[in-house]
Amino acid sequence: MKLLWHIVRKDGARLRLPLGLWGLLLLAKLALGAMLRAGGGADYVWFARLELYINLCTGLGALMVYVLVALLIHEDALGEASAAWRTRPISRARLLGAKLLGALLMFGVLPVLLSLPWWWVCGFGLRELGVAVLETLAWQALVVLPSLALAVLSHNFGRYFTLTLAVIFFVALAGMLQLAYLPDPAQAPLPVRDSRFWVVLALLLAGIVGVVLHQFLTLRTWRSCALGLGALALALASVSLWPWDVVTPARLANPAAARGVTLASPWATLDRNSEHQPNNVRVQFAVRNVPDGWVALGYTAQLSWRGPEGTRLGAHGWVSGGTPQEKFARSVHQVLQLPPERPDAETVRWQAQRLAELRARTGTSWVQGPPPARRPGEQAFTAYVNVKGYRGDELPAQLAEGELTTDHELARPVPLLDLPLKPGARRSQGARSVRVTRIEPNPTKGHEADLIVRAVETQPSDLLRWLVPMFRYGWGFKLDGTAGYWLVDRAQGQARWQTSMGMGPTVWVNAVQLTWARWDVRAPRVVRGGQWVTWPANWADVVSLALVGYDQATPFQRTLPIERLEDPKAPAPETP
Amino acid sequence: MNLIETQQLTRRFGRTTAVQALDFNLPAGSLCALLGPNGAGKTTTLQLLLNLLAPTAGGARVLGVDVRRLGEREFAQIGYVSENQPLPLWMTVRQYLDYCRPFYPAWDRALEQTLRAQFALPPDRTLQQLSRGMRMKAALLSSLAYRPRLLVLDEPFSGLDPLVRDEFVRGMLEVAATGEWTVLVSSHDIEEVERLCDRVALLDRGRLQLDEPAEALLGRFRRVEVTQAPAAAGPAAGWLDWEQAGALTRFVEPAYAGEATAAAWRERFPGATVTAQPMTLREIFVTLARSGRAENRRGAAA
Repeated sequence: MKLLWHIVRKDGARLRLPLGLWGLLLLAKLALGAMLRAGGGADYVWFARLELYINLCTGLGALMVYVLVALLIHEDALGEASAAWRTRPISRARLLGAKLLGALLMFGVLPVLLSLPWWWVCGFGLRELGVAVLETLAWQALVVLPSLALAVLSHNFGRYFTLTLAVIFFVALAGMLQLAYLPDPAQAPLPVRDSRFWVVLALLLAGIVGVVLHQFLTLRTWRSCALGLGALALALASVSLWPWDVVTPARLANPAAARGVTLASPWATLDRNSEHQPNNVRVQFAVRNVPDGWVALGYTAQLSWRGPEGTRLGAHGWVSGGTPQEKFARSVHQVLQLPPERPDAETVRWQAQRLAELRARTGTSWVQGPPPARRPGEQAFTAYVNVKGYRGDELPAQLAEGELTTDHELARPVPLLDLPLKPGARRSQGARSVRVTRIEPNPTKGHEADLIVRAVETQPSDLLRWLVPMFRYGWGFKLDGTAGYWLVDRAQGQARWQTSMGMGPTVWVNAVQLTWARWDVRAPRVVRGGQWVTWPANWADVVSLALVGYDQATPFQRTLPIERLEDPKAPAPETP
Repeated sequence: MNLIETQQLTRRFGRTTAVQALDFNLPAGSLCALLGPNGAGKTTTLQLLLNLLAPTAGGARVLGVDVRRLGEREFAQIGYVSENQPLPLWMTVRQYLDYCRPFYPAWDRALEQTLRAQFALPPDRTLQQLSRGMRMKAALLSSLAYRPRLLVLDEPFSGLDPLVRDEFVRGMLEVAATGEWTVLVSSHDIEEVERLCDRVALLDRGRLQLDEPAEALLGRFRRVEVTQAPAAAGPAAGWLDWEQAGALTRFVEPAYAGEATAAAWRERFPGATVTAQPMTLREIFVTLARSGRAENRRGAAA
């Protein structure tokens, strides 16, 4: 071990200048992040400019890591017979250990240490720190591991660069051949596609580890190259050919909390597309018996039925639960402990009157009123499934025996922070903090009381928050469980979802996500004398922006038969 | 005991055979010169002996261990200096020695300081700032300070000026005098090798032409001049560099054995005057190399 450190110290001394430069670049990036976080009242252009600089630092940093890895390995080149270490008492295993330790210290520990003050300033707790460290290591590994594999196969920078180009060329060529001769990966069922992602990742990782170990321990460069190319080719082929679903078993979990939840009233509609486009099937259904205080989220959907020869066929899609207002308003109302909403009597009367007038004038009932009130514990969902390879006229008959399987999650809304509409106001909750940087009128909306609220939001980027549902639900998942902002009027018992359309650019600075948020906040209105007026007049002083997150997610899966399929665009039967 | 033993050691690069069926032994305590013209396979042989290259056929043992299994324990007893081996030029001499030292349990600090003073190596200059000769000395110092049982030098005099070369050889001889060293040195620089080595091995086209103590080699080679030799007299088997110009005949006798050989010459050239001069190692080398090439040409023509 002592000699291992001795080699690491030598490499550190050798690379101190480029490492120092790289460290400075990391610090510059963190300083830019701190400026963004502090960014009082600065405008969007300023944010966008800093975002560009940060991204430049990230790109340049990755390039420097690519070069530094080569310098680290080539310092004691493996493929060169004249390398000094080969006639010194340094075993290959010891050199491998030293280089891996050096790489971990330089490209793992150093950025983590440099980022610690930044994370501390951002209010990271122990959990966030742990995730941030993992995330930093994962991002670094993304550049370091492939570079390591290329560096051990070369003994100078010229060859390293040439090899990099060769691998890029190989991947591009293999990609073209794959497109030309192998099945289209997009045609595979969703779980198989998800499985392929993890299989390819595992193969690439195994390939890199195999190349590095084999080259260090045997110094047989051509065999190591063949090993690497083999793993790469296998990974590329797996993108199109891997046939098995290895992720679904991991997704199946039906814990007690979701036991009583049922799916009901499936109502399928066939949306016919043009000849060249696949048909879509929309299945509307309800999720019932959602426990009090929870909300159901929808992820992926699978529609299956018997094929012409009795085979089981399937198509995959995703599930939507409507707008956040429709999905979450009731549970948000509960967790924010708002008093019952008191609709303004004059406004309700006026709206009902207008609706009746409109219906009378047009003579139809297509003018929709407010959505029907749902039973407690019931939520409406729609599954959108893309049915490839079937003509529209075949589907109704097939789907008569079909069934729908959907993936869901039960989540509990959690109030995170309450931000007053005041310039400069800052609220923090754990490592998440929001600061209002500017409030200004929003003339474009035609109502002078409406406001544009700008803020900078800082939170852990929390890679695991993305990776875990991605593993559980695949690429098709929609992160319904992310936090959202609600305009809350406690006096009136109102909570209105603030659309995320105004969310500006997001930039990642060493496991911290900084977002330049903009909300078009609509002033509350009532009808007085047949006109919409702002009420109360001092509304901005009494409302706040509440950030609500979702916690303790409980996944579950349900299957229900398709009861009805409508085909509104069915071609008219031919007349003799 | 032999520190190096090879059996039918062979290395091919594609169709070219660099080392062919080499059987060679180096006894402990020898200072052996590995000589040969360019492309003879000297560097390849040394690289095979240190497991820098894998043999195509045959095998070798160094310090009693199969070269394919040479490990940290063996390399801690082997010193290797090569003109081709890159040095960490960014290090100072002190840093370089500090780096090498922990790898060798037998590193002798006193010997290191003695040699550093003897080689006049400036400790705070980077290797980049040193001349080629000084760098070779630094490399030699880093390979001597742990008193290796076996020292392998690959063209150590290449590119050194005569003064540095002389210092280098003197340094080597002084070090050699301090203990039991076994040295295998490959070089073109035959005069320096002659001063240094007590054993000579000659490689040509990958084959070992000779391997014997230097004294015996110098003793058995004679340059012979015959004046007034009979016109019909031709060369005997084994004689090299035979040439006749008028009344003067010259050749090299590779098997001189004192008075018995002189008697055989007189018998072959009755009435002629025969004089025999000892040869230098350089002359022997040139003679052997030239006759090797001539044989080559004859082989190619046939």
